[in-house]
Amino acid sequence: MEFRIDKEQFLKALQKIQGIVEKRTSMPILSNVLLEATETSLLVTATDLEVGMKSSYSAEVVATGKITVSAKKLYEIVKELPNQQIVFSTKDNDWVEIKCGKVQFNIVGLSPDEFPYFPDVKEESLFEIESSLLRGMIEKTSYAICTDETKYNLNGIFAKVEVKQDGINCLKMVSTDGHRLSIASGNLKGSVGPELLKGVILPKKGIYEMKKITDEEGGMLLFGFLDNSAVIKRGDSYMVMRLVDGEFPDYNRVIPTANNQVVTVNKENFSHSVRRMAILSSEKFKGIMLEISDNGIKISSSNPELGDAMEEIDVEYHGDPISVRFNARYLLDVLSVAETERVDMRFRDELSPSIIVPENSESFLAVIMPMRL
Amino acid sequence: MPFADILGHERIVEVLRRSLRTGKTAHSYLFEGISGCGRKKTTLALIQGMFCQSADDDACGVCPSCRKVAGGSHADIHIVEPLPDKRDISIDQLREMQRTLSLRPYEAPRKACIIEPAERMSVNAANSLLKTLEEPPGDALIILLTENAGLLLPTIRSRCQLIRFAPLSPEHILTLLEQSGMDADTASLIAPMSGGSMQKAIELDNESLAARRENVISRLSQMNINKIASVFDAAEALSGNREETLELLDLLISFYRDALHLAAGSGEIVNRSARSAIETIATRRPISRTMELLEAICQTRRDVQRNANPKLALDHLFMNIAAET
Repeated sequence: MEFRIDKEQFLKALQKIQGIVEKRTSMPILSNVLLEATETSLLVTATDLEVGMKSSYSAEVVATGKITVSAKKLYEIVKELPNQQIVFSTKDNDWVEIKCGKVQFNIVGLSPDEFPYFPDVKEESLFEIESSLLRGMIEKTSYAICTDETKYNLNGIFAKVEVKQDGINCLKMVSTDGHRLSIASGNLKGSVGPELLKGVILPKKGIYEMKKITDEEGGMLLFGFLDNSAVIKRGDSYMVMRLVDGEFPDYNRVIPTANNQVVTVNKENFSHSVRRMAILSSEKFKGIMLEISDNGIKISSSNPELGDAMEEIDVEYHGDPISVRFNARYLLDVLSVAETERVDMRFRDELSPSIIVPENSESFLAVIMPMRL
Repeated sequence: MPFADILGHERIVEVLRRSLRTGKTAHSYLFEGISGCGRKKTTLALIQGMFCQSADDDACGVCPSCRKVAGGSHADIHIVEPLPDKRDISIDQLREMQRTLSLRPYEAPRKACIIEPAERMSVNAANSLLKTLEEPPGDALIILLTENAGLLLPTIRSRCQLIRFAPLSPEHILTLLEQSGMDADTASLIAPMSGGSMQKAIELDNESLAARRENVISRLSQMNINKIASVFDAAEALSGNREETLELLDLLISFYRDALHLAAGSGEIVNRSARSAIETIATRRPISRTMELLEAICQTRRDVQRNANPKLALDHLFMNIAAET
């Protein structure tokens, strides 16, 4: 094959896939990038078998064909080439020749046949989702993803579409680590495939790569499923991620229904107080105590080695007095992603799970287990 | 047909094929047998059979999936073995494997994982595997290969279906060697020496084997009980570490086996090129004495295997051999 491409564009294409190529060397081919020259464009593919990316770029194709070369070395070479058009061609035995002005490189490639199969994306099976909605939902749930690798079915975000009574598809994303649970919801336009109605678990690494895509710019993304992978399409690039093989626990059962002691706090003030009180809590468990009564919330912490601290904030509350202990970090994580000015905290008693939701909003719900101190 | 290529384990192959046919494969297998007896080949055939769509209980061997499995580049097979500069399989490697197993298969209908050699898993690593072994995430197949299942934790053993592979018979090794293009004479010399391991048979390089045989024969013929130094010199020169000494003893066993055959009037000997030297051994003493010496060599071999000092064991054996000359 042979193609000519602008240096800047080639460099951008290679830069994009650097984060994906395999750093470990279990399969040498995975540290390579697959370059495919078709009649009209150049396809650049990289995968580590968990997350993969395929993008198409315009290039002047002289002869079609495909080859794989080391992604890292090719990137380093292209980065240092003069700012001119690059002529990329293959020779016998998977050798590659790169010419740019008076510079010439010959590098060894690997046969493209060995490159892992990349799911063939069919656009009609994808549906549209707003980039900003997806980004917000990932933000609201990714903090609670379990980091214990042995609980593999919790190592990701569970995504499921529930059809509401008025026929609107509501996408729910759920994550939990056993101590806390977070649910984000958002309405989708259009129809979705059967996978989402059943529910899928998106892996942690894929989530972070997906978030990078949504960070870039607004607008619409295409989202869908293929074989055992989830697919995201933006412009001319696809990203695929392999789904987690497992069952997500029935999260509806852990959402308490009888939490009728509701207290509303100002998010900003409350999180500052919690942060202050957390200073004197133990390093490992970060335990702080909330005593809620008609007069307000008394937040306190104590540490036998350091001392104790106490702060009162005024709130409207007319229920029974209640005192409950939390890991301060869990509270702060929730407060930092809730987007309204005030949040509702719903309690039942000292040892039952508590709920935190943004005031007058259904887009987000967090459940936190209290601590025994 | 990959299963058809497996020689000498017909019963095992039948069991595995039946389990593929009925869809009742176990989720974890423990294949026990000496290295080079066909465990790995059977493992790959089983995985090919599972991945390949062409037949219920076998694979076609030519589709992309089968070729990738055979070439070791299939994305749904995870091979765990000690890292190049490490002795043991570490807990990190197993965690990594468990993480990849938690994802859905890449292109095959199921996922597979091979751990070899399983006895090299450290205790911690093995313990971390227990849960996965009992309930592999999403239909994964885990195959452990070991030379000695007794070296594994009982908790690991009890979670796997144990399949024992017998060493290959010399006839099978002979067939395989000839298939791989070795000439019949050399193959028939190497086959009995390989101890049922194809790997060992390939390693037994014929030229160095011949040189070693020359050396042993000349040393043996120079030994004289009246010059006791010659006996000890021979033991000193021929003994090496445990492995090498065992190899030497195997060679001696084959000489005395041939000598017995010659003395009994049979021409079926292994060391054809050393026929004259073996005839000397055979004619020098009565058959009963040759058999005693053969027994003594076998005993020495057992002793060396059980941690006897190779040099001292050879001293003793060679004095015994030299005594009659």
